Amino acid sequence: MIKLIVFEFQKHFLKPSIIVAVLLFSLLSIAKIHSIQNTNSLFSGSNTSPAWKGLYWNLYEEFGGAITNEKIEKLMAIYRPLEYQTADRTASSDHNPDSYTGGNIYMDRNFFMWNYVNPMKYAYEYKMYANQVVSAAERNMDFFESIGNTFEYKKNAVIKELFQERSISIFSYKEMYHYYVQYDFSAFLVLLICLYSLMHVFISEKETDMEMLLLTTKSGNNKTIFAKLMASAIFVCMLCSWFWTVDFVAFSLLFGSFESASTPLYALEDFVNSSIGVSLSQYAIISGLIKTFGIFVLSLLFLVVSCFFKNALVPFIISLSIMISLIFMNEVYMGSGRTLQKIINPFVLIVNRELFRKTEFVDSFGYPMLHYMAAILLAVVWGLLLTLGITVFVKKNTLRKGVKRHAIMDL
Amino acid sequence: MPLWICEMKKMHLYQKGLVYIGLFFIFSLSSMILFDKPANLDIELNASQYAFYLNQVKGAYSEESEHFFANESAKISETKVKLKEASDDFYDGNINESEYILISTPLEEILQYEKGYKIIYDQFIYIREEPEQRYFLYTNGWDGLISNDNLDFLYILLLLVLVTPVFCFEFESKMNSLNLTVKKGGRNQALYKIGLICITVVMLCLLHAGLKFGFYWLKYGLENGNYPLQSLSYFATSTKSSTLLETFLWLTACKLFGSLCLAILIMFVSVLFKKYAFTLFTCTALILLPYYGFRLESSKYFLPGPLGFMVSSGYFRGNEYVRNMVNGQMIFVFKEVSTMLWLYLFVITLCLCIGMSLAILIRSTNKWCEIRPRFRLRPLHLMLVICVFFLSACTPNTRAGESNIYNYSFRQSYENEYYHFYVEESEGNETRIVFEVKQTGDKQHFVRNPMTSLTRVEKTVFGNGSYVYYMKYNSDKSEIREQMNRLSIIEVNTDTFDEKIVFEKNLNTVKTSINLFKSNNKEMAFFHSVSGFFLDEENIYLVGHDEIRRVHQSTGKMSVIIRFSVLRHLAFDGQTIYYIDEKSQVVKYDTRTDIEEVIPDLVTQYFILTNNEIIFLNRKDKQKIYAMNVSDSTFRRITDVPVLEFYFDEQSIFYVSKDDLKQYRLDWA
Repeated sequence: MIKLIVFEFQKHFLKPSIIVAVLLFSLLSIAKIHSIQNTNSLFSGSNTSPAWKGLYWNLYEEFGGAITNEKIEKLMAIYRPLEYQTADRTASSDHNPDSYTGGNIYMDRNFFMWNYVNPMKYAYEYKMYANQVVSAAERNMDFFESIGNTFEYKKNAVIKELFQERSISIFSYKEMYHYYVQYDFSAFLVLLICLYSLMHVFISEKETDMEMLLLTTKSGNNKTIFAKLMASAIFVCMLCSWFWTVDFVAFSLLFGSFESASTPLYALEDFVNSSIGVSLSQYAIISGLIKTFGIFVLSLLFLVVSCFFKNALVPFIISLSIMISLIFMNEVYMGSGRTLQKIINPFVLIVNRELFRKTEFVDSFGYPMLHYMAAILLAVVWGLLLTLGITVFVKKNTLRKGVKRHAIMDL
Repeated sequence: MPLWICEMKKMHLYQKGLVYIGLFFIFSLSSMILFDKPANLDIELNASQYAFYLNQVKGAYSEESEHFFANESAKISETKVKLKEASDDFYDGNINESEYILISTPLEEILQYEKGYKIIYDQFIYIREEPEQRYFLYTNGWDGLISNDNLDFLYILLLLVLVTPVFCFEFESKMNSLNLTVKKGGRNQALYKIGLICITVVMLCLLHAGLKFGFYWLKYGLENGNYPLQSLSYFATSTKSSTLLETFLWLTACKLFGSLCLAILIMFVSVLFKKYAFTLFTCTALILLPYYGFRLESSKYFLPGPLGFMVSSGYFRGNEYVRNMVNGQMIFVFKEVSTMLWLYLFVITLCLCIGMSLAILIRSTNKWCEIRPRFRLRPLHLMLVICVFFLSACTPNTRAGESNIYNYSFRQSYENEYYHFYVEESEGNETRIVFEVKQTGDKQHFVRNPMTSLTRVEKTVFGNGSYVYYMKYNSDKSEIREQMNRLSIIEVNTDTFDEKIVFEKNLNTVKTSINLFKSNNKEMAFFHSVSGFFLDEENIYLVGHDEIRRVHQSTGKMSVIIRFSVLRHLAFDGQTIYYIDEKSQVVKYDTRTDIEEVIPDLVTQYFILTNNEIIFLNRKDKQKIYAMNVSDSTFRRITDVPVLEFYFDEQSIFYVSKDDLKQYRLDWA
């Protein structure tokens, strides 16, 4: 069996064209990450002077790490006068070599505000916010119990559980993760490669009219289908791991930091209501896994479509249109409160920050289910249906031909 | 049979070319009909008001139009004052009715078009910056036709499905070697193939351009094609001198060239690699990746190749800047492509095309084809199923039952059998909606979501029996600053306090996800200014500062139903909207029949609607409180003294007397 899988893998995926495409697209992805860094980073040459970066890392030694009252006071002692002087916008905006950033006082204020004061304030206040959420959830539990709404009661119990003990005790450099979690371009590239390489998995034998021959072999029929599916799964996993690793390393190197790995996910302000309490590095792994799964489900879809055709032309076009439609649907419901419409689309697994940045629930037979779990479950269902589809549709052809063959042998 | 007829038959019949072309036109036309939205929605919603002013200033900017705008604003504000004076005189009894009608009718006519003036004034401000190049015209038609750089996916898919099999079809059956032996094979046949594809692509492109032109001409009317391009704000800073119609022709020519180039590219790749999948993959990647990959919108225009020419409106745009938030400097969001550079790009692309064609001819081998087994109808079925699946995503959402009375001035509170809901503004700046249980007097938060960050609940509620509605804005923080993301109206069933979304509007103007579809966000302003809302079974009514819009709950169709210059007060009883117009009269608007009528003799600045009465301060009788029965229009006086303000509950009415400024209570009975 393993031999068969290895053979299928070699046949379909170890082609020079695929390898070249992977390498080229990796470079493209890196270039894209570079442009993201260049446009958005507070330390990129196009936004600020190089002094910012140096100053940031100098101060980081002093202010990074555990947040203490001394650090806060020290920081505010620098920031308050800046804020006070720039409050009515009458301070001189002339170049001042004595300023912290080597620019003017407004730049100093911006530097401290964006890099230190705002993030530290957010981290410091997060514990309070989490406590507020917990006490609100507790109040809700009492309230919903009193009016007999068990679904909402359970929902608030889950929220309480999630937000209990949440706090951010460490101040760290998070800019890289801020942009990393919003990066989807590589997923689009991976999908294109999958679309191309998976087209041939079921078609290659039909193109060469070898499918009849395949049926007469010992390991034909279901074994071959299984081997093909396994090989495709392995390929998708390898491809995704490669791209997600490239992304992560490129982000880390271009932003120049491997910091914040153990900072909790909700330290990112967009994830203030995050539905999971993992660290940023764990999130990077979880998100990668879920993305891979999402891409696998779409790959199964491409495979199902290709089962119906004798060459790659029409299935490619149909798969591409389905892919575009799914992306479109996903964009329509991105950020929407209509949870069901959002998670029914397997593409949401690929843009999975949508599942983790808010805590939303789906009603599953009276039990509140966190919507990322529901999305994964639904994707599993999609996956099973599509696999079933593949076995049914491919088998039908072989059976029909099998019967014919049988009859001839009988004769 | 001549070679070209055979090739044509093969392409259009055996390979189902005609079917695909037919499908393309059906899908393309239906997507235009279903998804086309006017570039400036305000103009469409206030079409007649806008047309009134446009007809007076249409064309080039002149001193006359400058005077016109200066006079017109003065005239409108003057008219308002005059109308107010006349109304006051009439209600005080200084003039009689016929005199009043004589004075007010022309004044009303002027004010009727006020909203149109606001829209045209925005246009005037735009035109005043560059009066030589920018003309007044109705922009929606031309904007829809030429002001976008959207890639036409269907068109790309059609080209792929038409052109790829031209050579691949024969490679697939591995008959290449046989081809060499045929007399009419080889280059000869390849030439025919290329020629045929070029003709087909030219026809398709022209037909499609014609279809688009026809669609926009029918829907909006494409008048004033001789006006300069810069009249459209999309091309505001363009340095090209061209008229609108010329631009459209140029764009069509560019698209034609781009399509030909793409077709030749597809044939080139297919001849080179002889595989369907690889050809399709390469060509898709070459088109889609530069289209989405670049940070700057204009970067794709600096690349030679088919993409730039296929979405060529960018060649006509000028430099556009935006201020960098971090360092305050201006940065490019669009870089102009100069004519010289465009010429270079054209020549390079042309050379590439010629090179590729030569390569095709050199590499091409020929084969007299046999008829392949036909495709089954399955792809068609699959496509249809998919379309039906995607089109049937919406489910209606209605709530039947009797309606509650909505009074705009009470939009911050609502009472039903068990609860009293209201906006509490204590505790510093924090405002929140709370409710009081009537039996016990317990006070609780109404919005039960414990996670309050990145959400802003508006200070307005609407209730209907046990269903209570509120409005909130969600935002995200994917940039340094918070971005408004969505406006939603939430229905709360107060028996169980379960929440349900009844209306949602995406307000996001920044890019999300892979962003395949760029949105145009000129209509967002209204949704940021919504100060109240109410619902009936089918529609949601949103109250802006100078208009009320009706949005159908399931179809999302939006229309402006009422316009006013100042929102004084309005009320809704489930079918009829009552509001106060410029002349302080109360107007009745029936939402089912869309008929508007003024209630005679009811003159007031403030009223409250109850189940069967309108209680108001009678302007005609020294601001005494009156009540008008809604069903038989009879009036009865409630107080004998002039009143400053009043409110009431079930038992009594409370009012502040104008004479001594003291509050009094009067029982209903």
